[in-house]
Amino acid sequence: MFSLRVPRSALRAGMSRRDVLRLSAVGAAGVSQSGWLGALAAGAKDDPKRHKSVILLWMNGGPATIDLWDLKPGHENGGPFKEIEAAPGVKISEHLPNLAKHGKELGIVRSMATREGDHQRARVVSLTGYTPQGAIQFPALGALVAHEFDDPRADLPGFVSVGGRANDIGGGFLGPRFAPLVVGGDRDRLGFGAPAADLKVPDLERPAGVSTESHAKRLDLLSGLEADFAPGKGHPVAETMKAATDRAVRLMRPEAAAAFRLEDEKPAAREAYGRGTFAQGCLLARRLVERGVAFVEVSLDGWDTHNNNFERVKGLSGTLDTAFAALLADLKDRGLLDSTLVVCQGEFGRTPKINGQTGRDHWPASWSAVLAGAGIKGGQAVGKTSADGTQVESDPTRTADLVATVMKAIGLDPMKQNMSNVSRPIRLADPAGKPIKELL
Amino acid sequence: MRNRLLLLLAAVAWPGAVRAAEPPDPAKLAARIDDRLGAEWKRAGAKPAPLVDDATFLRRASLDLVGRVPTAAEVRAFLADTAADKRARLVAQLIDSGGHTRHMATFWRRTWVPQADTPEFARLADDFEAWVAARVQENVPYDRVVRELLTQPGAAGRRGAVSPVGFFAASESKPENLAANATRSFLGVNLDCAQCHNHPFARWTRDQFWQTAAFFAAPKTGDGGKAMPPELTIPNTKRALSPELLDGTAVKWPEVLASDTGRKLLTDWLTAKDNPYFARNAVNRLWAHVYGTALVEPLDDLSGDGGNTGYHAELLKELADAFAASGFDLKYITRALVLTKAYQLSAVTPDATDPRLFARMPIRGLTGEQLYDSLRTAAGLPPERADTGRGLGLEGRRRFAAQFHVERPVMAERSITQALSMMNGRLITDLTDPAKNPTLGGVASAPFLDTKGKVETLFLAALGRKPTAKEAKTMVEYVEGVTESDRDRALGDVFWALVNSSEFNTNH
Repeated sequence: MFSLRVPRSALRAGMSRRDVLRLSAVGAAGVSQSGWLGALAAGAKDDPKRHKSVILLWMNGGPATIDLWDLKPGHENGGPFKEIEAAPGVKISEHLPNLAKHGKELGIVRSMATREGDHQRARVVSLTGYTPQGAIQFPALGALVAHEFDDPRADLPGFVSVGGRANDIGGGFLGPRFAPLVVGGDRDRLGFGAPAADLKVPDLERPAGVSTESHAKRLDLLSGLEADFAPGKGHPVAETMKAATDRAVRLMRPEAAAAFRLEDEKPAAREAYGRGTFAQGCLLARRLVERGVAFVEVSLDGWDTHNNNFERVKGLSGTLDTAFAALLADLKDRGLLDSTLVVCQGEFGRTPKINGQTGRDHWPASWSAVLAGAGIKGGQAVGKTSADGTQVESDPTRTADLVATVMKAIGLDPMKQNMSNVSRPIRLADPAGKPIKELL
Repeated sequence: MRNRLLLLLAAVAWPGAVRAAEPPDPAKLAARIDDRLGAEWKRAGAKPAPLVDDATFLRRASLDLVGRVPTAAEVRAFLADTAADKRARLVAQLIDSGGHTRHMATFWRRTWVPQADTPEFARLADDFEAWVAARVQENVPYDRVVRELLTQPGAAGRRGAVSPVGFFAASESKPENLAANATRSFLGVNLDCAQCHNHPFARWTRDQFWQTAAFFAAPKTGDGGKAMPPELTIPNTKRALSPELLDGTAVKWPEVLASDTGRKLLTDWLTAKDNPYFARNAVNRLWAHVYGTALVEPLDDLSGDGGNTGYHAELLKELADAFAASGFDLKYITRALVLTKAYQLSAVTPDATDPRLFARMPIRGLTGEQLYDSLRTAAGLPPERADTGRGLGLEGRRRFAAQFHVERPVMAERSITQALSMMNGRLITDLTDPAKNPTLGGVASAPFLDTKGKVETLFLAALGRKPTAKEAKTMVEYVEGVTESDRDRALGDVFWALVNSSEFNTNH
């Protein structure tokens, strides 16, 4: 089942253009018989059994949602930004003009009320859906979704994180198989924000100096060793090693690696998303979702605006507005918006009161998150904050509620259980959570 | 009752007579283990796997006891040794080596301060491991190690940074975190869930959780400024609780209380020979370390049904008693566990048996540290030393180990990112270059070796065994099939394939 004995031609990651042409010239029949090429085609959007996907636009640092989605013009907490209409009765920041045009897709949740005001803890709670408890290793939402929609034959992994992320929230008790494939962003430096627009899978390419022939030969030698390794048969640990190598080899294949080749997009399409890691990461997310990836995280860093809030939020709004709007338009054009849920949130909001440095500080008590696609009822704002923005006046929405909504929107039962590392079953969403019914 | 009696007897024999007495014989305890397991196999009608050959044994014991594969020279010497007791001698020699000290320091650190495997607390790992290593090296009795750890975190200033203070730092010095981590680490009891509610699957109540936590709280100030036993209030309630021991033993407070009296009283109870969990927890974790699966699973639920009436509850009790009676001698118990026949069973059997029978060896993944050290060993490079400062080498090891972190080797999984790194990453790429890989460089330039001899050396260095005839033929044909100038590169390809194999990446 995990054999590495596939036609050698199919193993040659990074074939030259001429190789590809020659291969097509002699006929790809021999290759497609192996099923390697077929897998990608089957992931296309016409597949009736296609599962839904999630794109999480992660606003790292905690965005001032009071300056994005829930403005308080006229109030002293409001700041200088003006409102524009996104849908009847729904107004957002003037610095999100392109998103306003997609207002009928946007479900704005203005009643987010959470408890953690520390970046790291809030990030863990937001990205896992659970408050840390003892030794339980909670998986990231992406790992949970990838696990539910797992297809062992898929060429691409089910969970991809773009633009860097804290790497301590991964597969959790589901194991490293469901940890995100991190694209762009130096995982060792533990940070966010990839250098430039270098959105590459680490170590995806053959090392310099290893020719295609050499690479193919290495894999041949390896598959011979694997075939003869008697203790490996039927032992799960040995099987996972072989399976991971197998998947890595498949990901190296030009057809799979092409998912990451943004240069294959038309220049106009790339321009539409804007420049920079986040914008191009959104484009990459679309390419991945199109190929059946279940969960893609794209990070935009810089929202921790303790000082000079308005100028910085204005700048970040421009980046977000262009990319998010282009993503929605692109998904729609390709018929993918009905099956793709886009979530835009950070770990918390920011203080309605403006501090002495024209900044805003951490504020989990009242903030906004935005959902779109996958059947989310857009064109509305759910929940309401007080005139000064400091309190949620409607029923508060907790992280668990938001997670339950995400699960439900993509057709998963939030109450489904997985066995955790402490032999205690854990549900997809904290059972305290209730899906936001206005959105579904 | 019976335990109390045994303890009384032990107390009489202890400590006056202990120095004169013969040290306990680990081989005897090993034989007891084999008897016990043999009886289980009979009852279950299970046929144990055959014993492994010398090469497999050497590799397994080296990985378990010193955290790396054997060198090609060690393999050759061990295979050539004709002494009947060579496996027992090897075990003794490995356990007395510096590699064992370092390997077990990582093992205990990971058991006690698993938080240091997360980026948030990674900075704690080095100092804590250095502290454990010093104790393992001197074979300080296990109870004394734990006592020191729990009662002397303030010793940080005295001997540089080498102190167990990391345990407290990882718990943010909060009584509730310390209670949860101490009971999990030293008793194999999971109180975590009882923090917020009464645990549905175990016997612990929320009150017991906070009563345990209260030992770590500062004393209360009573009338006239006198220090009184501490009290903790359960968050969001008005319920204040004083320290109480989990098994209901009365707490005897001294007249005068110091800031750490509570912690010391808890430690007295926790590390006592008659504590119902302390010795069993240590042995159960060591067993899991060398056999993959613990005698009682899960590791942190000794107070559950498995711990009391489970499959091997009795065997665990017997081993724990022997461990306590030896004066908590870690080297003694470790030797006993690996001197058994059971430890020498092959991983290959025609049919899979219940892993709890230990009728065959499971296949385990390597920890990040084992993998890194094994790659260097295979390449003929010396291990990165922890005592030569914080060079780039150590930083590279740390980074690699974090990338290849494994929670439980017996359930290890590999991610695509890890696999890509093994195939195309910087470290492996360097190791396929004869200029950076002494094993490869030596083989490539050895005039006295033919291709077959070169291939054989690579197998010994990486897999700890000679190639089969079929493997030798394939590899030799490949290397000799390329042009003369490409031979070194082809040998690099062979090395690449060897270290990417699941045979290299597992302990079997």
